[in-house]
Amino acid sequence: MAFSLVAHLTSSHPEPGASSGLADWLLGESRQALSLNLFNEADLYFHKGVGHRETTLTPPGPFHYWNAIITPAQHVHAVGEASAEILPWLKLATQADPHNVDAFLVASFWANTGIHRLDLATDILNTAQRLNPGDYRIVLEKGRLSIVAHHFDEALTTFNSALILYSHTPVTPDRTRELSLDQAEILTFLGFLHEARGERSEAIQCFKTVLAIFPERTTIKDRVDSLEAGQAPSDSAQSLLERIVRKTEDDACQDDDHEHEHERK
Amino acid sequence: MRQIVTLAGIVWLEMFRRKELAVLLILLATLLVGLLSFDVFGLSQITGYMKDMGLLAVWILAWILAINTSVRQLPQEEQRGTLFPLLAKPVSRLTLIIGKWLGAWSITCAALVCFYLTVCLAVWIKGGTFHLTTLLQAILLHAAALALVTSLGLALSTRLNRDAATVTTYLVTGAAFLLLPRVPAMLVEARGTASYALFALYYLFPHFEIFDLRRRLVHDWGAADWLILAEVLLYGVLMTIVFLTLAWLGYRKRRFSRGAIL
Repeated sequence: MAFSLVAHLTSSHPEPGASSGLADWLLGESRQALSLNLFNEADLYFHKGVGHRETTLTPPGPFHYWNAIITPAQHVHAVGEASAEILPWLKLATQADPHNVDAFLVASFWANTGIHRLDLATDILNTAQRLNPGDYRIVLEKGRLSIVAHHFDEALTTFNSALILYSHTPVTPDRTRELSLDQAEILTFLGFLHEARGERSEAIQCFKTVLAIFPERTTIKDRVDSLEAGQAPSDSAQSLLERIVRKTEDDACQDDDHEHEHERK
Repeated sequence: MRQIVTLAGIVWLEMFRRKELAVLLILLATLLVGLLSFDVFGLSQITGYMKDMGLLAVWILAWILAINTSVRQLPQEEQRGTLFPLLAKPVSRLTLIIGKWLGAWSITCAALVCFYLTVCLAVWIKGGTFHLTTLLQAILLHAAALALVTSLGLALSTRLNRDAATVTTYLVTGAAFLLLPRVPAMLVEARGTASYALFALYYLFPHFEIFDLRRRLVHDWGAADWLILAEVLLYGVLMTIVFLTLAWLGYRKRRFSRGAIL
């Protein structure tokens, strides 16, 4: 028993990215706060320097008026090449805390959607996976990128890996909803991928698991009915997959919890 | 007027002797070289973060220089005993105040231009540029903000010793810069005495946030309305005059005893 314990302990390696010398020594646990701050800075850059709107009580006098003119406050988005300006802050956020998976995912999103660099997006996710090998969200995102690249066989393998990693993710009360949504997403992708390959029974099984989590999803229910009846659904699985992964800059904003009017500069 | 310019010239000479400006420029250059070498996923021509951090550094360095230069002028003259021959020239106390302020402000502005040029050079090396009109407006407003800081530092140094004046100027200007823009949001929750205190702070403290054009520069929002800019500049001039008047009021009747100082 002692031998097996020693063998187990010596073969286990520290988690990659868990410690990075000087940064760890200087910042300690505050690395997470710093990383979050840098992540928020990226959000600020997406909105071209304009922060989230707050409820204010404007004191009389010229200061508020002058400030409103001097400091722009319109809600606009950095689009196209301009969205690349977000990336340095996300890189800094990942360097401050290599376990800030959200920062990696958002960086990958902007590399793919903002500047159309699928290769860079994949590289970012590979780095993220190397530093956070147990996080299913990275593998889920890699699966999405495989669909964007029309590598459907690779996507199937990737989503299966994501599902395995997901099953090892501890469920905490604050993440229950997020985890359920992600599980349903992985299974939906798998269902469509199986359907596209003509593997109907596997597809039906995946969709039925989604319905067990979210019974209110009538679109999935209709699709299961069609597949079980042996009918071809009106939208092909491949076209639906492509539609799901086609995200724009505005989708990133809709994910936020702030209210605003959309306007482009 | 000639006396004022001569006094300002002495401040310049002293600054050259102290080599403070060189140290601050080296600090800025070191930061910018670090930013230049930062690899953003192998992408080139991303300059927003450089502009942002570079301009933040310019604001901090100019703030430090403005306070340190202005608050030491009068206490230094008193401590060295050079104040007595100076006042015996004769140089009026108002002339002394204005001359010292002009020297401190003009040398800070000269340093400011050097700082901005250094940041422009670094951004240009990285492949980016600044919108020229906005840059000009930013420097103008920044110089006006520094006029305020230097006059406040000088005013406080007429009644406090050098260290106390330095700390107080840092606290007042720092709090004004960070706190005042948040007051409209804080007023929503504030009730009773707290709300009166916030209103008092809002109107009494100088508003530095209206001199800050960094967001326009970094995110390419273009130049601000010139009319508003003129109004803000006028506010800067008026506040500077207010602080210089306070400095004069605090200094005009002040008695110096050579024995007590030396």
